[in-house]
Amino acid sequence: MLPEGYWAQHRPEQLTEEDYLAARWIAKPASLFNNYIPIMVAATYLFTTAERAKDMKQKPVYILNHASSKTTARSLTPTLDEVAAETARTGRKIYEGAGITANDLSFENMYDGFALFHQFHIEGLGYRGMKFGDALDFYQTDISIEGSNPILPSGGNIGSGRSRFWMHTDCTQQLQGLAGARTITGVKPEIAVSGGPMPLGGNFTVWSATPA
Amino acid sequence: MVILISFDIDGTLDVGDPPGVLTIEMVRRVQQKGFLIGSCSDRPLSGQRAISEQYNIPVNFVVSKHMLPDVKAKFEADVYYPIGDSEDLVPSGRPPREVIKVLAPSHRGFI
Repeated sequence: MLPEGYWAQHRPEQLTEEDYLAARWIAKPASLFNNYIPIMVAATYLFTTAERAKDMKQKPVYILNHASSKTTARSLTPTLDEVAAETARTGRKIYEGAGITANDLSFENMYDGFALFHQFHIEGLGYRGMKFGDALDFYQTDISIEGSNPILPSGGNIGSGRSRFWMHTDCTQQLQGLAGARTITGVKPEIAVSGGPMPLGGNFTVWSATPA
Repeated sequence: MVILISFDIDGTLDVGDPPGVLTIEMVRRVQQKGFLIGSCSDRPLSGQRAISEQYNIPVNFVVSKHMLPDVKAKFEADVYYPIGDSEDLVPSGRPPREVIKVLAPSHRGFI
């Protein structure tokens, strides 16, 4: 969790498995803790050219790509096939624009406002070679910040409250070496992707510790 | 007479977020009077237990809001009295006289 987040500041107790399983349903299969808490929060980011950034106090983080997606859904409730098709298309745009492949990602910080969205995003990315339907099995691997398959080291919106920007903040801080207790140690942070919110529409950024 | 009171936390107790009108001392007094008490909140169970431990008030149960019927099934009491700020926990009707006697002296306005 980010120290600026709601839970870290106001209720820092660790959520246990029992806590999670005892939570009431909001909309099955999503329980209370599969949803973020609305909060009031703001953040500021400074964008400039790589040339100017070289002389600035903070270590710069480079943007390799920005991609957007916006599919018109067939109905109010998209099907799983539609979600898979769009997240795969988004993944392709993310990689092609950045000139990278899924293998180049050190970690990811995709959107999690509703927890199930995160699975859709990372399956679409093909993160760590994942295929559609693999996310649950993937979660059985070491997805912690100490592991080789770090998932959402920011803690996301569920971990810190609904800002929709923690993922971007964490990507930049990890690549700058400023993530503190959240620093990923299982892999070297070199290239990351963040973005969302919706599987059928969002904005995504590829970040890098070095220029393209 | 066995009376069971379940307390919501946020919006109900003074230690909640937002704070409610019931003080933690009122909860302590109810517990000391021998009522069956516990918390029933959307907070994680571990977080609810932490409050009980922090204020050193032993509780008979700690449950999530949707588990209140389980409490009723588990504990036999003459009166079940849930106190909270959400629709399903707002007490219906006047509380039993025994509850008033314990809670009212320090906060008559609440009940």
